[in-house]
Amino acid sequence: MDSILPGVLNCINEGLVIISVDLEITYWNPFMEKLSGKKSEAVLGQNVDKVLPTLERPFFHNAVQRLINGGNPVFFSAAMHRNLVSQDHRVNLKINRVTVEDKVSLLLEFIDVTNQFQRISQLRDYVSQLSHLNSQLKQKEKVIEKLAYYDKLTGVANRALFDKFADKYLNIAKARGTMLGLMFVDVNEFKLINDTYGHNTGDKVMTRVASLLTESTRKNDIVCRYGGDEFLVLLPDIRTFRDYQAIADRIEANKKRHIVQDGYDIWLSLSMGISFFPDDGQTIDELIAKADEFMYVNKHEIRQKNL
Amino acid sequence: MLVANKISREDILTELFNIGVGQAASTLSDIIDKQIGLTIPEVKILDAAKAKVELNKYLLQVAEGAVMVSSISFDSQLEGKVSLLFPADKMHHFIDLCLHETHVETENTLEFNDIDFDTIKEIGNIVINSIIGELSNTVNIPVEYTLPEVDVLNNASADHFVDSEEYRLVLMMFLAFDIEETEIAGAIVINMTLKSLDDILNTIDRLYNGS
Repeated sequence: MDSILPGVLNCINEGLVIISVDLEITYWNPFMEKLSGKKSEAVLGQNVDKVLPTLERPFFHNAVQRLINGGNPVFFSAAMHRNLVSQDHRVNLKINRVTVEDKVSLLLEFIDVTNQFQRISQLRDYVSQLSHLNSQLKQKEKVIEKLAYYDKLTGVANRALFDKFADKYLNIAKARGTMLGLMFVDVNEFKLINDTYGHNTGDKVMTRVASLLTESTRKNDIVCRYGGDEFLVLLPDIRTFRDYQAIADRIEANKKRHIVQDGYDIWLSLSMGISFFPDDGQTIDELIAKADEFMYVNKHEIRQKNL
Repeated sequence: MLVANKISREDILTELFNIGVGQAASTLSDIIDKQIGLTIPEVKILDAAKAKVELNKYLLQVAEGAVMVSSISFDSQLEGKVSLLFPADKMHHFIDLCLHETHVETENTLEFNDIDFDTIKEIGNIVINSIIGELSNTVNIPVEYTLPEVDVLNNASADHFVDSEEYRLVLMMFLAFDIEETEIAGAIVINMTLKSLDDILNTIDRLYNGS
């Protein structure tokens, strides 16, 4: 049996080193030659911490001493101990005490885990690439959502988003017994602005009206560009007419009669009509029709005043 | 015999284990080239039922039920099992600190690879060696064991670590692991046969109290 053991150790695909209690190398198997690039003849009789200099540290010497005294195995991981045997291989090191006829030796097993490190590194790269792709997709989703639900020129909600919120807010108002306000806003004489100052300036004026409405309304109110120069504003959770009046007053205060755009002094005027669920209608279409009607009354009043 | 001098025995064990983990901290600092603090504020000797209550508190409050555990069984003259528990959700950050690495994408997952397991196996080996080694040296009773097994347990409960049938008495301690101002609250549970613990405590009494 003893005669075949050296042959068996030579066949094992694991770096095997046997050292004495003085750290002198007494056995160095062929796989260890492959891992370290050092031939057995060159290292036998030398101290292991001189042949493998990363072991020339207090943690190794202390571990060996404890192992010689106590006999319990020691483990050093490839992750915490880089370049244990060479720069090309990552190895875990297990050390056990072997006692034969009162003579104590230490068996060092160098287990090659280089492939594990490579695979994990590849997986980390894939995860990183996927994570990057995922964030790109999320950004694109946001852009698509913006295109689908927001008006390209003014940045406020388009009709699709308005419809979505209108149904939601109407259902909440019905369930809670609260009011829902719907404001119809029209930019007076917008065609004249376009004809006088050009479409480019007209577009900028439209954007400023959208900003004015957004700044004057509450966080949960929905400002929507309904048509060319028409806006709708959904006002959920209105409890009294005063709640609406506070918003209308803010629009009035923010609305500058004259605005300067592209160096032109432009007269800006808005006509507004408001309808309320449940008094003015039971559906969004009825509320829009009613608010449109009141908006025309307001437009007529403004025209009369300016005559 | 076990109840008398209980406080002083616990104090003695606390001091012994702190010497052990102090050496473990020094070894780990040498390996990873960073300042590491390891302290055990208090050791408790509990019966299995009380140990389960204490441990369940830790699992619920600190580890939220998911732990990474290194455990070894020992036999020869002393028989038992020791488990070193860490909150699993903190372990990626902890391992990264030990390896001087940063992996933001895996920081919050409970998935661990072989490299992570081997890192914890080494740390577990060093910490457990230091505790059991110190105990074994002090009472001069040899302890034999293998390398730790490392596992991640989701929804872990104290029943995983405290075996009331076989061991009945438990040494329990919490471990404050401090690395670069990040503190990881670990727990160590040592299940021992009544005879083993009795042997240890009697030896300690003889050594420190002369009885």
